[in-house]
Amino acid sequence: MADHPEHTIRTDRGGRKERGGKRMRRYLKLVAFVAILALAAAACGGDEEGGEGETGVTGATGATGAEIEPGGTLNVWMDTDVTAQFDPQKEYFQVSFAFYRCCLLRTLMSYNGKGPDEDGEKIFPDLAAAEPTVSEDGLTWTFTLKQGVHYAPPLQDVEITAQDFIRAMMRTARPEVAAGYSFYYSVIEGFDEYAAGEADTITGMTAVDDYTLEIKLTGPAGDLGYRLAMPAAAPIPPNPADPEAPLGVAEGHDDDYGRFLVSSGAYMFEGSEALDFSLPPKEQEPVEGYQPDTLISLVRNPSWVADGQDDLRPAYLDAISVEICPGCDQEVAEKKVAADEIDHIFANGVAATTARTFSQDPELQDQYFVEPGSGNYYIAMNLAVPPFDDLAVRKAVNYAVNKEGWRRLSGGEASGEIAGYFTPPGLLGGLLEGYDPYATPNSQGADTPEGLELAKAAMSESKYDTDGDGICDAPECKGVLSVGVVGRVAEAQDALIAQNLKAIGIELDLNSFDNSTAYGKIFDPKNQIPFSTFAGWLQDYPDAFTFYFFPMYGPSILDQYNTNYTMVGATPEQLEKYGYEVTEVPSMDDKIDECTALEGDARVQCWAEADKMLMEEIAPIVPLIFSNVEQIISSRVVNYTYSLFDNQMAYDQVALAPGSA
Amino acid sequence: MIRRTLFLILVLVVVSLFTFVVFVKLPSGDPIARAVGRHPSPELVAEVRENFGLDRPLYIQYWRFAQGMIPWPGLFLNEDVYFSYRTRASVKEAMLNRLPVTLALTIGAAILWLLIGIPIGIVSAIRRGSLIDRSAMIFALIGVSMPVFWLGLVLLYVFHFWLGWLPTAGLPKDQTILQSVAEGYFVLPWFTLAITSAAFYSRMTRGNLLETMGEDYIRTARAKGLSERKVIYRHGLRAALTPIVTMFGLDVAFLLGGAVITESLFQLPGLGQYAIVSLYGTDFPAVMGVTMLSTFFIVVANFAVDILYAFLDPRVRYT
Repeated sequence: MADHPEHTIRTDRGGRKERGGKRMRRYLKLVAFVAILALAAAACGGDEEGGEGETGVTGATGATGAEIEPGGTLNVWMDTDVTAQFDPQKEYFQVSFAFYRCCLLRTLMSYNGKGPDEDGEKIFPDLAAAEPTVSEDGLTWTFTLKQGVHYAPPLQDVEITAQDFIRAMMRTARPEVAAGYSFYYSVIEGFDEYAAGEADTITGMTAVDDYTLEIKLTGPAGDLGYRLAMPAAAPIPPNPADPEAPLGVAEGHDDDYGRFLVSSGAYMFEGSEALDFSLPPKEQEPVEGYQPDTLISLVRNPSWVADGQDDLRPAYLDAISVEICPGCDQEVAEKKVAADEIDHIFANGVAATTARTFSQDPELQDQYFVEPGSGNYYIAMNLAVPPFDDLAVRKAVNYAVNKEGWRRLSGGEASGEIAGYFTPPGLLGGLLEGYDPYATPNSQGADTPEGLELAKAAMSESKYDTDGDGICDAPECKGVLSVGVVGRVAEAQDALIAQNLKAIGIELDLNSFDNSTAYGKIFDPKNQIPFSTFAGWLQDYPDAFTFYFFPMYGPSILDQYNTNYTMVGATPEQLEKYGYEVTEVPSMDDKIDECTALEGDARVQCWAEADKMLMEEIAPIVPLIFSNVEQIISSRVVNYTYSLFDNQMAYDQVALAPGSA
Repeated sequence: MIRRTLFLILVLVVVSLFTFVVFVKLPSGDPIARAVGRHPSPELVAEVRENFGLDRPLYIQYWRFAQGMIPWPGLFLNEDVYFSYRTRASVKEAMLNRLPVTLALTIGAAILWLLIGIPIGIVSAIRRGSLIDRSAMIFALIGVSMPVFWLGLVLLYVFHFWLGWLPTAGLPKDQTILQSVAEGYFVLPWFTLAITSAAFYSRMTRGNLLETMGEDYIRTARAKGLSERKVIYRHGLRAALTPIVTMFGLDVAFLLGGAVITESLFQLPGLGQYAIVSLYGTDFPAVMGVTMLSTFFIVVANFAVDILYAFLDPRVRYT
């Protein structure tokens, strides 16, 4: 998922705070804003420095305990639009996922919109009446649907049935739709054949009757429920005016279905009732409630109210009004939150000055939250490029990096928890709590005498340290190409890493690029980038599979847009194809395959073991932090709830304070 | 007129070609990467590349964009080519939605800076060396020195968040632009944009007027017995305004292409905001659309300025 304040794509973690092209402008604005705040403070005789306010306030509830009164309009601001006009097959973006889950699309299974302490990482039956029945071999999943659940207007008379889920999968498979994550469904029997045009239907999906859906898989996938909780798997209604249309109301809308979306959720786009599917697709008028780059206006779905069959979403609000303001100054919007002019900013962070104001002002402290995100930042070492083809070197690097210093440059504790392993703890059920195979005092690496000794001890085991003094003396350790991103913070962090590694004889050649260029370089395995300082990952759904399948799985290595930066699991043929001199690298494919087939606690346990294996036997990365998400809300918002699935405030759980609606 | 129109077309072609070449040869990012997700199959990449038209030879790619500039139904900014890589929405729709905001911002600010800048410049020139003149100089110095983003933040903080006299940043979604103008949502942005320009215009007016008032024909006018008022306004100011009109035309045209900082600060969904987001997002169709519109405004403004010259200066004849 996208992860940073400027909402990059789900492809990767993107830049960190204060990175990218807006850096200088943001910096200048920051200075100006600080000056203004200082002037104001002086004028009011206030003392903003007086408190020792916590910046790391954590809580799943904010202004909870207040009486919940349904109704009202929540005013939201965000500085980026969705990426594909709300097309559920194309959107592969945290922002859109959040709107789908809370408001627009129901799926067979879904989330409760809550945090890690309240089962927010689990899925529950949503349009399914109960948990699916899974055959003994794990290859046949049968879902029974709730009866009497209808779509939003204008299809309020159309009941959601099993065929609608098959229709959604067909649209996901169609090449002309260019769906964002169809690979998750390749495991369904016949999916790839249908995608290739070799079949008229997806043979593995059968509507046994209107309320029974049977799915056959080609191999076990213990997380199928999670995959079916993604928006692309949400039902697409038939078109009553053209019942034979294979894609139902989405027929003829390969590029713009999102603007004709028929909701199955608690809310719908304002004006949805005016959609007219009896017209040819080109003559249909899109919904008024979504204007790209301008606004999202959601109102209650009367069908959802009438059906009353949603146990996951209380949906207290009458409406949600979102102002989209791309390129606008987020700090001004944050001031508007403090002034109760808007209720929430849909972003993953707030400006440092705002965080300080909210965390230190007694009147605002209850409106500031630091939540555990579902992502990490790490350094990637390419196993196929010397000296990182040597496990001892990689271990030494793990010992040497000053993670605490790196985090301090990121903004301190609020930016995240220091990571000793790869997978965010929320996805491992806390099984690896306290685990850090490369622990150093205060996580300061080679900047402490003990840390430096540990790093040197590891390096002394390397073939690149010929005299065994703990300092790499081979030419491979000189001028090691390092790719990072531009930005005051990022470049300072890179300099810190370079300084740490120099202590063990590795001299980095630091190169900083804008985000797109930097990713362009590491996306191509032929570039053989040895060291990347800006890697990171974010879940697609709360299962460790989404962490291992892309960056750690050999078969996932791609010729272009490759996100397995370390090349772990690459075959000798792949290495030769991309021109590497190293002919063999370690793999954890077998372990990943093993975990993928499991379910429940055994699956979580398996992923924890995989993480240990990754860190101890391969060590292709230096985990830096498990990132946090900072949120601010207006004083009008009550029952604040944080959704772990989409890493945002859950609009289906919050309400407005009595009298403020 | 025909010559002017041909010139306009030539400028648009040159600018569009230059923009295209810059985008193709010096790309700041890969527009496909954003669209294909985190694990794209080669087929998906090919599909998206085809959808974006990037699989075709460069000259065809350019020709498709060039066709979109022809003001003809079905061609002008047609959505097969001019759709945003970032949102996949129509560029024409986005620009038409944003143009009124930018127009309101620019026109209001321009009127304001003329109303402030020119009178101050005149008074300052007439009362050269007086307290008024010195005060005007200080105003000009401060006005020119203040960065727009800083001034905007100060004005917003003081007049909205602190005193509550003026509306907040942003525009209400249920209002037309005229309603927002009437309710004062543009007052702070106008002043933010206008103060710097007003300061500059006051200095320009003062300097030009002083220079003009030293001309022989002014002395002649006085010798003919004209009142000082007539000498200044009919003869002096008219000539002094000629270079100001030139600058004004270009300034307004430039702002019509988008006042990036002011729009960003005051959360006004205008063309400048659209341009900057599109640039960061490697959104070439949107960049091309905004660039062409800005170019159009600048060429038209130049044309308008030339006409005004003829009105202001009897020696100039428009052919």
